[in-house]
Amino acid sequence: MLFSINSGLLEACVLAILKTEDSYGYKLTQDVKALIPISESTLYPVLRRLQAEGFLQTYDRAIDGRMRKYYAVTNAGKIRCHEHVTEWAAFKKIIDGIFIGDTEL
Amino acid sequence: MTRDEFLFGLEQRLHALPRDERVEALRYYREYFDEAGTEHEQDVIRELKSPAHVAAKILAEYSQKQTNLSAATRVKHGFRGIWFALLAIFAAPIAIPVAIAIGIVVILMVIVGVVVIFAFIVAGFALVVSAVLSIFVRPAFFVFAIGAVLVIYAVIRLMLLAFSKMIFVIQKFIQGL
Repeated sequence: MLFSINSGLLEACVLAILKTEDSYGYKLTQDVKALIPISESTLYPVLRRLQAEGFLQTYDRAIDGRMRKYYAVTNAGKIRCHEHVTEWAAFKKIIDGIFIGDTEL
Repeated sequence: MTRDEFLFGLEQRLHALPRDERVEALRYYREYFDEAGTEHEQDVIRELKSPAHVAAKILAEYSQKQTNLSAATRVKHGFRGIWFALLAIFAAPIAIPVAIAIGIVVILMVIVGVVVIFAFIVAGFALVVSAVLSIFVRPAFFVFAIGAVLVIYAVIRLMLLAFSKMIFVIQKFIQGL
């Protein structure tokens, strides 16, 4: 891909994906990887950061005799998601304006 | 390399982290291997590249977190930020001589920075004291001394800013590997 994704945008994507459904490290990595080219070791620091900022919380669920850690979006995370959507729309508009060429300089 | 060797290597490289941070990271990657299943063990190891690669990213993230902590504890966490940035450099999968060279440069810059800032602080105090003593005797010197102290203060702030930028660049560099 010509355009690379920065850490802020990746954080926003992870939040948005988790907002639709709680998920766990391995599945989330596979899901994100299917859409965006990331290395498998990229997501842990991102999840940790989102957790520290209070946008994600975790809970354990027993699967096949061991624990699986699920990540869920908090209320603060949902508000954050909403901000991302608004900001992305504004950003997209600027870039579209440049690409399509109807921006007044 | 097996899964256990990988996790052991990761634990070794994370030993400088606080216990809960290390346990958390290891738990995540242990679970990651569990979910992938034994049949995909080698795929996961190949994808994760090496314990060093994974550890560098975790240390860089922790370093950044320390640097960003509240202003009240800035100096202490600032130094922790530098320290973990150094650890991240050494954990990073770059050639050892390169890591040593970058590490030495960072350490020397920190030493030089600390010495220079200390010298400025001492000079600042001396100026304040002599200014106060000479306030009625030599008013012109008093004004000069106050000006000099303000300049010194500005220089110190600039140097601290330069430091935090330098750490930020190192963190970004390691996260990009």
